[in-house]
Amino acid sequence: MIPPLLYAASAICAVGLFLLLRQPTGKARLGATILGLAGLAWLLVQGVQASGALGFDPRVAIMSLTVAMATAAAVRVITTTRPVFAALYFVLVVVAGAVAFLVMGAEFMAFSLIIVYAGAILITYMFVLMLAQQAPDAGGPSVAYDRVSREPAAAVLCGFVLLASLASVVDDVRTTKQPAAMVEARANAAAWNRMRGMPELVKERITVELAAAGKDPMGWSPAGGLEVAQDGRTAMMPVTLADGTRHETVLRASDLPVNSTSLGWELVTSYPGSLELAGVILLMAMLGAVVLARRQTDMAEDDRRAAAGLPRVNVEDADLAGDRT
Amino acid sequence: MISIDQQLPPGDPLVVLGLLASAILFAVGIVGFLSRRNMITMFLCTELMFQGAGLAMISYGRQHMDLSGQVFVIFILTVAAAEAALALGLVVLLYRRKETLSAEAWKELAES
Repeated sequence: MIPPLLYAASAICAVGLFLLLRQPTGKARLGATILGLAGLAWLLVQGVQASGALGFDPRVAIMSLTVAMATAAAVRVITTTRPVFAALYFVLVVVAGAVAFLVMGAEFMAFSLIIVYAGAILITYMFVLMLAQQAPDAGGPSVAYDRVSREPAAAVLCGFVLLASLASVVDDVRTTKQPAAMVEARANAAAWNRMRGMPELVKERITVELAAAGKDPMGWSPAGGLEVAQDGRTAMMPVTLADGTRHETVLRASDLPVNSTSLGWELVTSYPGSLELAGVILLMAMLGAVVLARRQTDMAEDDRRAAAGLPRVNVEDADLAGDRT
Repeated sequence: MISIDQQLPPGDPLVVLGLLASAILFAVGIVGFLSRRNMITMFLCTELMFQGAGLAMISYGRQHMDLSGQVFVIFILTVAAAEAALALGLVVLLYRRKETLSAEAWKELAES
């Protein structure tokens, strides 16, 4: 990407977002939306050009639409005056993000993103919105502090200086790219290596290959290890068939484990410590949430004791309860 | 300059678009965090920034054809879930104290 053009596109996006943050109505709002989308489209076109890709690829079209959808929903998250709508628009951002994950070949993460984010985290937000919702005041269907943004100009300036500098590293994607064949060979070698650790999967694939080659798929036994070809696209495995003859089975890249299998394997073989730590973090978050909510329970217990004619046991909390009323 | 450009191998446009989307989501998230005044919306904006970070991980994972990027997204999801549980617990606690969600109400972090 050519930096001056990149900064210009970022600036157009910034002006559009700034105008939208001021909660315009009618034609002003339409104009600001069009301005923001135009800046975004220019940014995306520059990005695709910078990648040096030639020809039309439907995946690029889907990805561009997804990016536009995610951006529009994200802008609605920060411009809508009602928090419930902000949470719902955030679901749209999550769905768009999941589509982007799918297009980029991360199927497992796409679906866990929807389950964890749209299914669990957003429901938590909805609960809190219900617990802590203020009645709208006279000025409209929302409360005053939701209608007026705080320092939109400074915030937009800060955000889009960040965007311009982040987007200028996109160039590196091309300049630091290693030859595609090398990256593919290395990735395939790693994938075959993972497959060596999954003997059941190898057995299944070889049975299928033998049946396809017209050999007896039953009663064979391995006669050697998995030999990976130089380019990593195929691997050979010698087997002894049931009738005693030797056969070289050829496995192709399509026989490699799918995304979720490899991801699970990578997670438990390369990052077992981090996985345990993630469990500890979740446990600590649960404990923290319990501790945060605990004071309320204490007061309730103490009140129950008082109501039953028993002396109060938690003097400190009783004082606090007095403060609150 | 253009001739040098054309000698380079073409990059993956999906990676470029993914990185741009992650930069945009992060920037919009930070703008929202700075300009919104409702504490719940502010935390939603941090979730937007988490989304941007996750998208960058997946894009770079695709660029290098490496699964570590996807593994890191699992950890980002973990941290986001932990953050949501704690932050929302705090928000409910703060709301009970002042009966408002406005961050301005907590300008001075002192007992009043």
